[in-house]
Amino acid sequence: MTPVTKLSSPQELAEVKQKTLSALETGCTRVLVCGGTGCMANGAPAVMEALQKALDERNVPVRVDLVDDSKEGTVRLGYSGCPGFCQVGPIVRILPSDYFYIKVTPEDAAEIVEKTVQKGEVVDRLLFTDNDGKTYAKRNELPFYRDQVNVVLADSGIIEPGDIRDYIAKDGYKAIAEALFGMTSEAVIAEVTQSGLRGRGGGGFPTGVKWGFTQRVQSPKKYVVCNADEGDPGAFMDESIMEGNPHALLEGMVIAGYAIGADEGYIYVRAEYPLAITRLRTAIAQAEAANLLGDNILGSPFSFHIHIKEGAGAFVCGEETALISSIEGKRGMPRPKPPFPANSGLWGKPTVVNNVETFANVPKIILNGAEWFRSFGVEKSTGTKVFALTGAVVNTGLIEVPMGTTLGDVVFKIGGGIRTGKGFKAVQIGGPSGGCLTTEHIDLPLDYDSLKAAGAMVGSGGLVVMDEDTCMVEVARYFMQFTQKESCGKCVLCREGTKQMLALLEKIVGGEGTLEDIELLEELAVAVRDGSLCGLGKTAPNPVLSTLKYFRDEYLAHVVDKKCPAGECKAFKGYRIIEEKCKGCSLCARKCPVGAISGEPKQPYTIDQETCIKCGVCFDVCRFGAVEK
Amino acid sequence: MPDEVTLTIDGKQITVPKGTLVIEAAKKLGIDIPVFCYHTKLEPVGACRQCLVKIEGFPKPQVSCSTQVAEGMVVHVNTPEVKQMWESMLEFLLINHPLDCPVCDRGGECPLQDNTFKYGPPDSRFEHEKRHFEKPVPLSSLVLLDRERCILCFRCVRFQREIADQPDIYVANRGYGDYIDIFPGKPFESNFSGNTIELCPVGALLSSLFRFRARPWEITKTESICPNCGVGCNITIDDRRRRYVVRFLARINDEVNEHWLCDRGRFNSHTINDPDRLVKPLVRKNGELQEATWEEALTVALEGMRAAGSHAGGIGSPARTNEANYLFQKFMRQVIGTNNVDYTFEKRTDGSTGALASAIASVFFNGRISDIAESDAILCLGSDISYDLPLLDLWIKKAVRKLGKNLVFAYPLKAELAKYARPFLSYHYGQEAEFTRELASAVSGTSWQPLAGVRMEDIDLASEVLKSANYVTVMVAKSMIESAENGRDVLKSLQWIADSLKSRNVRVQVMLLVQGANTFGAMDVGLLPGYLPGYKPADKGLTGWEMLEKAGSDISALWIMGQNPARDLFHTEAFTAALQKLDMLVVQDHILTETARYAHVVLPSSTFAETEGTFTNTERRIQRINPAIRRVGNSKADTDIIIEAASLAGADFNYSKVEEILTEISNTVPQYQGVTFDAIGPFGRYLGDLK
Amino acid sequence: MAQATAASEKESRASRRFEKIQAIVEQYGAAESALIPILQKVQEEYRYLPEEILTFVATALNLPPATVYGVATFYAQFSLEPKGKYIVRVCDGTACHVRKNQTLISTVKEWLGLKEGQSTTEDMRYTLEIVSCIGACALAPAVVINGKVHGQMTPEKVTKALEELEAAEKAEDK
Repeated sequence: MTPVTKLSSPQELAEVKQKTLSALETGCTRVLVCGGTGCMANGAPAVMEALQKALDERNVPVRVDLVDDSKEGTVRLGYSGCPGFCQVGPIVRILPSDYFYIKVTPEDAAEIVEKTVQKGEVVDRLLFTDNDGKTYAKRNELPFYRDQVNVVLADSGIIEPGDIRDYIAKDGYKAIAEALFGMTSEAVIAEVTQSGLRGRGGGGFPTGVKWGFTQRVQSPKKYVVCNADEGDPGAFMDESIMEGNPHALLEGMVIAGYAIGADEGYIYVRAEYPLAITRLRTAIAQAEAANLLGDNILGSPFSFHIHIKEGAGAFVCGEETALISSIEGKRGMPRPKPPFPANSGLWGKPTVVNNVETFANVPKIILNGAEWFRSFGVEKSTGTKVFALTGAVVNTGLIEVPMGTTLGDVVFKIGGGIRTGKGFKAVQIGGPSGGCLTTEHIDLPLDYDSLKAAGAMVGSGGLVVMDEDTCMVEVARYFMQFTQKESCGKCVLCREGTKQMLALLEKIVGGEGTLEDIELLEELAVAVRDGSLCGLGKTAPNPVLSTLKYFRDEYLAHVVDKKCPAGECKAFKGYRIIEEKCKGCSLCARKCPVGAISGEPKQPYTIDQETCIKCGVCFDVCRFGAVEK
Repeated sequence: MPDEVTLTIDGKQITVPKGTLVIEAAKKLGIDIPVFCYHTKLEPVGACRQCLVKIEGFPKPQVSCSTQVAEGMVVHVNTPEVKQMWESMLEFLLINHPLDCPVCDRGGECPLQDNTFKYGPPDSRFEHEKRHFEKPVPLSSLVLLDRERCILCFRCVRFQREIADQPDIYVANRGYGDYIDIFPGKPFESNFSGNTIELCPVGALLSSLFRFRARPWEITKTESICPNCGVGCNITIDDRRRRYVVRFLARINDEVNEHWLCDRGRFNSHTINDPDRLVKPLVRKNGELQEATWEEALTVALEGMRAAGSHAGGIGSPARTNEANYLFQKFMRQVIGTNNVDYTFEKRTDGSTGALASAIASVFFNGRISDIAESDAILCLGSDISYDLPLLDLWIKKAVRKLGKNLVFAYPLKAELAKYARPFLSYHYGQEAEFTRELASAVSGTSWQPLAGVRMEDIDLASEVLKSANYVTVMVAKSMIESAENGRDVLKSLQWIADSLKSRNVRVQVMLLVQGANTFGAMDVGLLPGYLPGYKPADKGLTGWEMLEKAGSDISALWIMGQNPARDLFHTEAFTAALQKLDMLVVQDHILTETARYAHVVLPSSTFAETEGTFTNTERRIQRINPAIRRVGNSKADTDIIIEAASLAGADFNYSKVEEILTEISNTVPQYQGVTFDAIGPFGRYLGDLK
Repeated sequence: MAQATAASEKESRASRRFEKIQAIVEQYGAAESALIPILQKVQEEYRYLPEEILTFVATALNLPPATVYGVATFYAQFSLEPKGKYIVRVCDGTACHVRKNQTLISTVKEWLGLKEGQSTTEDMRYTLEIVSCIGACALAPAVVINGKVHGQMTPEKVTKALEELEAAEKAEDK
């Protein structure tokens, strides 16, 4: 690939864009294999290899570069970022026709090349089919995408994250040129403030206001820090942006640096995201080579350098002061604020800390203006939000919707309703810091303030849908176990409080709870919420408080009736094989992970209750309904 | 005033400087807020959450230890809601804290216990098993850790990191598994480790010397001064039944030692409790030291000393009180009739003592310890302060690390403070005079050649640092003036540096670094050859070194008070040989030292813990020591021994109280004018600026 | 003689070892902010953080060993105990949790023969780790075996993957 070299003016950047666009317009067919973590793990590399081979065998010349004057082939094969619909991966997308192939295997490669690449025909069997048997050929027709509005993810899945030209063709880095050559730092901050952009990491603090604070502090050295320590279990939107469109993040950070007067930035990424780290490193190298990062960007007096810091496994480092400590090489423990990072952050210098999605929004705001941005979302929560939709819904994956979209639309329109055919029960939003929403919130707009009022929060955007078979006490216990394990131990309330809350929840799901335990649990939750040092502790009780608020009867059932209404808590259940129904097929015995089921073929089997771990595999696999719980 | 804010706490208005913490403002109003992790001298961490208060306008309670005051702020402390929170917090802290107060050293003086009594819940609602650890874990030979009692306030870790900058202890693990630890196999060997014991708000950090020795309620406390170095740290002597010293604790004095003590001082109570303390005078009979009465012993001593007359000598001590040293020189001069008096047997170069005496008399040394942190640049010459005067090491670290001041550190070896210096000047040992002249030339803008082993650019940098400051503290080791070759020139160069800086409108304070708790006082009260109290010139006499050198020739009798030359680090053999040449050796000490073994008369004296009197420290602050325990056996205070000896000789030494001696000193030594016990008060009186 | 050779061999092994660490320190620079990346690299090299290497790193970075120890014990990624040659990570993120990763955990434990509280097999071949979200939520439940993400796992699939790894390992041994 020919790198983009030292651009010394906005004009030169515009020329690269033009060249790339005209290269794409010369009848080039693009075959994009999803290169997100999900699809890569699901076999995308093998699909890529097979496609390459199929093209070679048919002597279809493949383009290496998107440079118009090169006499190259007509097909461009590459990895794209994550298009979000991970559940149906590996995904292969063909442009410009926009055919969207799902669950592609290496065996499908030849057909894709012959039919689609060479003849422009669609391979029907690789298309998405909904429950009614209807197929959808193009991405934007899919029910999963139809109701989404893509701003941050707009280019994810279309561009190749490994080639800076692709990003430039989509007006990438143009916002830097506009800011550096046409706007004062105050004007940049004013635009971002005007746009109403709020921190996407969960807190929802107005980004422009934060930048303004930092800009006004006099200091020869300032820093921009990107919080990419996406620790909420079940959230992977930041990972996806870094993998799919790393340049957008870099560009956002450069603009932030220009706005506040910083010349250095750090991206703090979880070590659990190796692919994102690789893509970021490549992107930084390419941007530096192109003079879009480094000294005298695009020939302007402004310089900005970005470094990557890998986390080492500590959820609490998502808290900004802990994150700063960790970058400094210390234990990632939060400290009291004030002083806020705007005054004293990394190495005591004024520092802006924003999350990945926040930064990725910035170039679009600069390019299209605050008013454009405000056209998405609602008055006090503008723009869009990316959510990670998982759990008991039909369609899972990353989705982007305007702020204020209702919960019902997300679960039923985009998510396609409950997968199991059971009833919708609740949504846990915002991960271990968030809370739950129930059927009564179906029409609740998902925005910062409405969610807060309902006792939940946007958080980083994890959205777990639960059906009737999910026990809400167990959900609270699961999240409490998570925060308890991740508490840094600095403040007493969080260290001891989470431990005690977890102990009480374990007691309740274990069938030993009492009414007093519920009272004590609630009292503890309020104390920990009100008195903890940092965000982790202050929000840790949220799952408990919101489940107590909306599902108190479930708690009561556990302690008074000694029952788990959802039938999930092991203490209240046992599995038994109904002799009359058992055909002696031995499937359950083979599937049992602990060897608790024994018997003779063709004879009814039995479960040894001592050995049984109540995992429910036997119940799930039995084709005769012979296992009861 | 723009730098002040007015706020209301529990209905009372108070005006405090901007940036004050809510808890400090409340303290000023006398409003008690319980704390565990917060400590005035440490950065707030907000870990224990005990100090939560209600501040109007904040939806949630705020920690008063890390919230700064704001204009018009309204704070509520004594409300049922806040008290309820405090109770909850204590309940939390007690979840894992064992109920072993009856066997805990801290029981009776434990903040957790006290606050639980005052504000805590009557009972716990948590019934699970408490955390268990192996206990106690020795972190060093002096400090033990009981992890079960630890409430993780991190005061110890913070002290070691923020104040001592010797972070040998650390928090290991994360979350519920947190505990205080050392690196495996690397003991907690800070010079200041004992402070962590005192800071610990529970009985988690324990002193191996104090453990199980006494209960706090049977302890009597006496205000005193640490006798181990020239800083004169304020301490309390804790004793049991007026007989046994159980420990020394730091006594807060923000102008001397703040809240801290060094380990050398803190853990040095064992010689007081030595089971081999001398209880009766000893007189050599038939070659053997045998017990005798005071009268008998003093008679023998007097006879021997008086027989020698002007060939007698007296060596007092930099670790004895002003009163004892004053009487001692008076006794030697007036009763024995000799000019040979000194407080030390260090070797001094010719003329240096005189030069130093006149510099002191002209108040050239006027440096104040607390001003170290006020000055912008510190020039430290010839002392490994971290070892010699450990508490000053903390002052310098505070100035450099916390306040961003500059340290110019000059010492032949790369001592601990070298790493804080900009620049560190490592001159050749023995070339102190050349080195200081080079520095003085650079500061005054005179040309010079580098001869003392320090690079020219480093000297230039040092000179720039000093010249660009508004206020400079110069600290110089007394040994650099008195022991170094041409030490007089060192003093001249220093005066040159001070004058050059002053001519550039730089404020300068100079501090003489002395090693003994009362070196300065001993000189002030005239225990110097050739100088009477107040540095009045007298007939020439021999120095301590010369007396030992001339033992057997010019000197035939010696009276040594509180010193042990026979165990001198460098000259044991020569000194021992000298002592054996004497016709009369009187040794006044509290144990049978190596020197006392050669004595003809041994007079059992009191330690500082049994003594009333004053010490004058390195900044020339006079401070009081007070008797904590009863005298051991028939031992006597130094002053009483001398008074008795004098009256036996028929001299008129009429003092009925120690304070009368101090009155006499204050009438004789100009700088001590008006000094009385009352005027000194509990925190001492700074004399450095009095002419 | 033999003893002397053994001793000098041990010594040279030790010095080679520190050479390697020295190279890592040089790569990242001897500053406190490089501590975490250096420890990560060391762990990559040794699969855990040996005590003497922590001391070496502390000296190289001019940090108190206790500080290094505090950092090493804070982050979940670091291990002060030797780990197995192959790491089996079962993701315990929300999506995996609600899709029954508990069965996977017990399957892996069973297959590796791990007792309660044990995470590394006695032959030092395998270590089981239960980790928070690896960001492959759409593939839940996910298991990472020897660095490779396996999605939509079932007890059978995880067993099969482990058997394949074991077979490859055996082939390598021969």
